[in-house]
Amino acid sequence: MSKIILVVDDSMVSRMMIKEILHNHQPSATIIEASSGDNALEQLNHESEVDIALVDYNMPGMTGLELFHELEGIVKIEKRALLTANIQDEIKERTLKAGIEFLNKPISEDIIAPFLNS
Amino acid sequence: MKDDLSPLEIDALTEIFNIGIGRAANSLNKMVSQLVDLTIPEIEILPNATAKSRLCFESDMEISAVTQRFDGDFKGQALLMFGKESGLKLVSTLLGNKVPLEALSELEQDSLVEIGNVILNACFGTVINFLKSSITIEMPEFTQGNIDKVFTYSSEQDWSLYIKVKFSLPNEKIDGHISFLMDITSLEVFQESVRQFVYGIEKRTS
Repeated sequence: MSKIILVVDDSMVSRMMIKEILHNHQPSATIIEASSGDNALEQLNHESEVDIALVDYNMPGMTGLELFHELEGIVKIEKRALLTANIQDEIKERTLKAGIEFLNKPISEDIIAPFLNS
Repeated sequence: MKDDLSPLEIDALTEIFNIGIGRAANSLNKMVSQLVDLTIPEIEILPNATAKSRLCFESDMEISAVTQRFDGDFKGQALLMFGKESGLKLVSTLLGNKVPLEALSELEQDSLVEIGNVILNACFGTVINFLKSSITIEMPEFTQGNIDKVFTYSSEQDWSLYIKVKFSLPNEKIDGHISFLMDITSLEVFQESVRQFVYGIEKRTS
């Protein structure tokens, strides 16, 4: 069964770069793409399980961490990563404390692939 | 001119600056040991006068600014601006709130230039790396005065790449603004670099 991967980023270019890497490593995956937290919540309305979620931190509306918090209890997500340019220690600590992987932008295969394969 | 960059190209530019500002915030966070909140960069190509009015500084407000000129593939100036009071608070925070406020003004210039240097270079470094461009960056300079003294440009006719970022230290109620101004020729070269960058991504993902 193909995996379901959630990609949330307000930047279309970032989503394109993430999808390119996903295509190389998870070619059969179904990708749910959203441009904001609210957009992701709408799209996940009918999903009860997601295999992998890659979510940007700094977006209009809710942050990536707030989105993960909103999703708790609604959707079961196997692997979660916050993908962000905001590399401040406090954000990193909050992310890791919530059991979410912390990945630094810029987006690259070196950053995403180890997470996908972990 | 405003329509010359496609929405996808503006999106790419916003993301590049977002990464640069994220790095800058991390540096500032380490300097002041506090969380630094950031807004998502707003990027527009605007006439200089419009860009200036977008900053929302009152005409009589005293502003502390660090400017850094750059030259090379494209040239212009980057501006980091604070209201004078915010600038002093930032310096005080940087110095661990150990120096009395009245003694701060002597250290204000040095401290803000150092903060500006760190923040603006984080932005420059990211943009240059992404766009594979070559520019040289001059030493940062400190300016103080109202918006007319701080935000200067050579031609009313020119359009500028205007990038507005607001960052704040919520505990200290400190707000700062960053803008990058470029003349029309540099802007065209810069736009072409952005187009090449986006073209590369589109080609790989198509």
